[in-house]
Amino acid sequence: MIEAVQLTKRYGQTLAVDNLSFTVQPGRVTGFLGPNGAGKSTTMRMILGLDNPTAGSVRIDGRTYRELDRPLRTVGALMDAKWLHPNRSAYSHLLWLARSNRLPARRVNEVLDLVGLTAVAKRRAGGFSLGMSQRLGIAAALLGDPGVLLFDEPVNGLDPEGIVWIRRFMQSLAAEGRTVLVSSHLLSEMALTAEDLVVIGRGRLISQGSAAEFIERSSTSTVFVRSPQLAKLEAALVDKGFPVVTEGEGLQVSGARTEVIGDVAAAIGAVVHELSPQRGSLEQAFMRLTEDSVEYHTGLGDAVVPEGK
Amino acid sequence: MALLDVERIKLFSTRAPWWCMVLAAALTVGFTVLLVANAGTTFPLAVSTTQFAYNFGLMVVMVMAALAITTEYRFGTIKSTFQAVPNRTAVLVSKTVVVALLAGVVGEIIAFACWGVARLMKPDADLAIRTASDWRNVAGVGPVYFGGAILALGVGMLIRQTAGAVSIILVWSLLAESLVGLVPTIGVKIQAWLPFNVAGHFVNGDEPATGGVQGRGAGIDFAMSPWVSLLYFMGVAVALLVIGIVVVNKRDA
Ligand SMILES: Nc1ncnc2c1ncn2[C@@H]1O[C@H](COP(=O)(O)OP(=O)(O)OP(=O)(O)O)[C@@H](O)[C@H]1O
Ligand SMILES: [Mg+2]
Repeated sequence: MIEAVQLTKRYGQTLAVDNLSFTVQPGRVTGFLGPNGAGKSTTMRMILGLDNPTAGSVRIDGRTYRELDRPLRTVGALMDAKWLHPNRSAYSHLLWLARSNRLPARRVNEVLDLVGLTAVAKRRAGGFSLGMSQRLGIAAALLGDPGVLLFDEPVNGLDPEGIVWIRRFMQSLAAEGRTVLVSSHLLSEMALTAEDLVVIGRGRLISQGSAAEFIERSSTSTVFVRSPQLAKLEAALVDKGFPVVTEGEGLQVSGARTEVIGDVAAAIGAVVHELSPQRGSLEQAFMRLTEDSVEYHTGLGDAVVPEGK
Repeated sequence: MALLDVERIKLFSTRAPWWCMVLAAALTVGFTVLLVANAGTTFPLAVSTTQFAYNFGLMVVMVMAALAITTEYRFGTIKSTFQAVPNRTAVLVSKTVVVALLAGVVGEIIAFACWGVARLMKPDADLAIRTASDWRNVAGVGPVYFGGAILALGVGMLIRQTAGAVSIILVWSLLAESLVGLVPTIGVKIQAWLPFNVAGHFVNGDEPATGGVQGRGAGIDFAMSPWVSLLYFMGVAVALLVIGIVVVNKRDA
């Protein structure tokens, strides 16, 4: 379990992380979501003891990172796939990491096998493609068979095959009972990967809880309804207090579920030809939520995304 | 012990140290060959002459030591390292032990290689190592490389960037310490306390002028004996290392 308490990090004038408290539970993938510059990487570096918090603390199973003995056995992390010496072979890279935590050299071969890099183990890591570097980073994270895993934007720049591989991999790690925290700036990606979400913007906590709930809550749902007695139905719905907008041959009703609209129609004896829930895109919902907390505004505002399904 | 092993693997699994060692040996021995070939009546050969070029190797070995830490910052491996071993002091001390020991061994090999080459080239010259001063002349090169590596590591920890750290080390040891001598009256007095001059005093002893060649430290009136000079040089190097370690512990990785 990871527990951050009032974590704060200031770089000169920039408040990168602002009084952030959250917990990450074992046995499930937790998404760490926020727009660019929200402070995700900074928070993860503080979890790993690389950056010192300006205030607050973060603990792993009750201990700070620096208190961990041979920490690779407790926490594995993939922060940046390019954190390796380009002229060192994948094998040597993993070997020195293993030695540092007194893990057997046999483990190096095991994790290389696990991520499918055995054939290129002796090649210099600088020549690896991004996907291969990413796999090597994951191998390094898994060296000590840790119970807690951190991944910072692991799918960035990967092709669809690589994305699916990493997604499955993280889910299988969580299924084994490990604590998995994975950061991303894409809600749509997290919707497919994570069960829990910690959402931040400008270093501050926006929301923490189940991913499904967050998506449900944050995406405005409307219901599209068509009926031969449209005017009558519209009046009845407005009467019930639901905002209604005419669209083509039907109505867009906000804030009501399909059941409610069906009941209203039945009550006034209106025939219904279509009753379909519409969902705004996840990205729109996410942008709306983090609007005030995005560091770099494009100035394009909401005009860019056409209303979609 | 595990950490020494880690730093050894890290050092030897990249090419830079190998290149540096070859370059250090080639430059130093090569220059010695030139010098010995030109030795004659105006410029008699002595044991100390065979070590005249030790500074070339020292520069390269210090660059190697600085690289050992700055490339870790350059490629982000310092973050992986501190993630694997949060005790930064232990990591940096281990790195220093491995790199400085290697530098010292390289220094000894180069020193005796230079002496050996000179003997082969001029079998008639009196190049036997007899006195304590002769021994210090030749075998003293290793300890100076050892100290130089420690100093360079300290600078590397403080500066982090390869270009910056290497420039400082080279300008300091090659230029700054000599140029101070240009300051009237006190210049020479200050020079007697600058670490690379003092290290030269340890190697060369009280006769810095070797034959017709002006050795490093010629004209400087050193206050310390050769062995105290070595201690002084080591002291400066270790002080820089300690500052480096304290700063690395304070700063974000
Ligand atoms: N070492 C540093 N020195 C100064 N400022 C920093 C440093 N690291 C991060 N910042 C600043 O802190 C803020 C948070 O950065 P961080 O990299 O944590 O964001 P992020 O959520 O990981 O973003 P991204 O999605 O782009 O990776 C940014 O404003 C960034 O410029
Ligand atoms: Mg980031």
